[in-house]
Amino acid sequence: MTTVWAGLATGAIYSLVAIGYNVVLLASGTFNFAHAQLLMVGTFLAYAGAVTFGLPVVPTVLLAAVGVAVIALVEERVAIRPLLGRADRHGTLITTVGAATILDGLAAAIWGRQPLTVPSVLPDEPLTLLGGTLRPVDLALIGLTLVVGVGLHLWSRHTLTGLASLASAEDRDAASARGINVRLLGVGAFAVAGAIAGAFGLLVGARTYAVFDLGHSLALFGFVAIAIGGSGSQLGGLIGGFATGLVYAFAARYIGAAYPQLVVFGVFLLILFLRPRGLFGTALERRV
Amino acid sequence: MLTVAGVTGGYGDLRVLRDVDVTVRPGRITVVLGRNGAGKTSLLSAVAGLLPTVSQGRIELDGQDIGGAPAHRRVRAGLGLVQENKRVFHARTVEENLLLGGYTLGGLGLRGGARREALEKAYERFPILLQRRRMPAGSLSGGQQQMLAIGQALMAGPKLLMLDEPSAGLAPAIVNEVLSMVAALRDQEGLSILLVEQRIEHALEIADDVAVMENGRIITAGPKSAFDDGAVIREVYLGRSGEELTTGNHGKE
Repeated sequence: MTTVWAGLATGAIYSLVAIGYNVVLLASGTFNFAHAQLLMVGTFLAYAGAVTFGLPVVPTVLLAAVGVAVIALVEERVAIRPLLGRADRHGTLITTVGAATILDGLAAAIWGRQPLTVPSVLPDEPLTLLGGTLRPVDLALIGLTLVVGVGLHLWSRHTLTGLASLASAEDRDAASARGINVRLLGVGAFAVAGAIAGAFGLLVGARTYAVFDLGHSLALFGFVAIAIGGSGSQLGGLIGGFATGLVYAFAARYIGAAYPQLVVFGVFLLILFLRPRGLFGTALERRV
Repeated sequence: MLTVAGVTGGYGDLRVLRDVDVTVRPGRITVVLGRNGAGKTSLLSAVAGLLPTVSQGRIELDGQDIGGAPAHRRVRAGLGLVQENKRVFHARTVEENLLLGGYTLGGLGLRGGARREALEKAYERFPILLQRRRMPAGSLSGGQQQMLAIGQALMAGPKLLMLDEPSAGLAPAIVNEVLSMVAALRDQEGLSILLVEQRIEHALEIADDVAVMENGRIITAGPKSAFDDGAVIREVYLGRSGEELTTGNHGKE
């Protein structure tokens, strides 16, 4: 059971990346390749709040959430908005990768290339739960990720703005013709995705350290989570992330420490072959 | 009600509308006719704020200049659009589609206030949608999707309803039903309507005014009585050029 808990804790981080991808994809139709880097910046801002400035937990979480939301808004303004309205919107794939590279470089320049220890906000004494052990901070990470993922799923299905977001993902022009301000929705999605990434900085950093290239591995496993769960489905992203974490943990435990990435990408390819939309995904078709 | 004056626009450098003038009188139906590619859909897109470029001209709704407003503000100003190809949100349920149609209405909650009233009215108008309310819109028949598209556009209570080929892809019996419904919206609810339609005879039956487009221009326009002999329409559709027409009796001045 300890392996399960370890898999769920790691998987929660992949779920957070997948959730961030989906929030932006659903509302703006853009795949933000830099989202894992936003999570990375969140860990650094959490480090800055807790260690550099010595702030208590709540102000640290707020600092990281607001800070990353602002960075996400700047990314939207610089890397996305200039390309809106162009016939070929695939340019955003390149510009968001560019934004990811810039964030990696800035983080390395500001905080250095060595991993920084983000202090745990909860006691380090392991808990025994359902026959396995885990740290309280990991339990909080799993629980809060579940709350955010399920909350966003319910929000998208049972509120007018949530439905507008789904409608906008399906057909932006038709959504505009219904009176939905699709541009504002897209900007809001970047802000929300950034705020969530920042708010989790303390919990994620306590598990991964704050390190400038964290985004690379998170992005890859976030894609796997999306492939398993399906793009455009918040529940799918949530489950896909946890599933990826579990596959990783069990492969490491029972096959060997050198193999989990191979196994995870084997599963990734299998899903792409058997069910390209993922387990819960819907096709985000666009009319042209 | 709607005045489109001297509108020129298109997609980037490609001009698909050239100096277009169209009016819709209050409580009347203006039908826009023309061959495929004449610019009819682009005209509706320009009015709705969905055409990428409108380089010149004026668009007024009820005396209010909406030419520079983004699409969502034009809906709030009273514009309703039923796009071509029964463009509903296929992955969403019928009821979600209708609720999205009432996006601009006030009221707390998804089904609160004015949205609830508009939803009840939509189901009254289209009882079949009530029966299908939990089904994905993509699973409806073509005629039902068209009813949903019209119901969705009516949810916000528009002053002017624009319909882009509402009969396209529908069986003849359903075409009559849909166009009768359009006429009823004018006759019973006093709605002003701008209708783009390929089925000329059906469209002329309910028209008050007619405009004919060719190559992005209005080549002739006027009250329906001016088109009663059918000569102009036949000439447009059967091949005489628009330039010749502009020099004739029905030419645009």
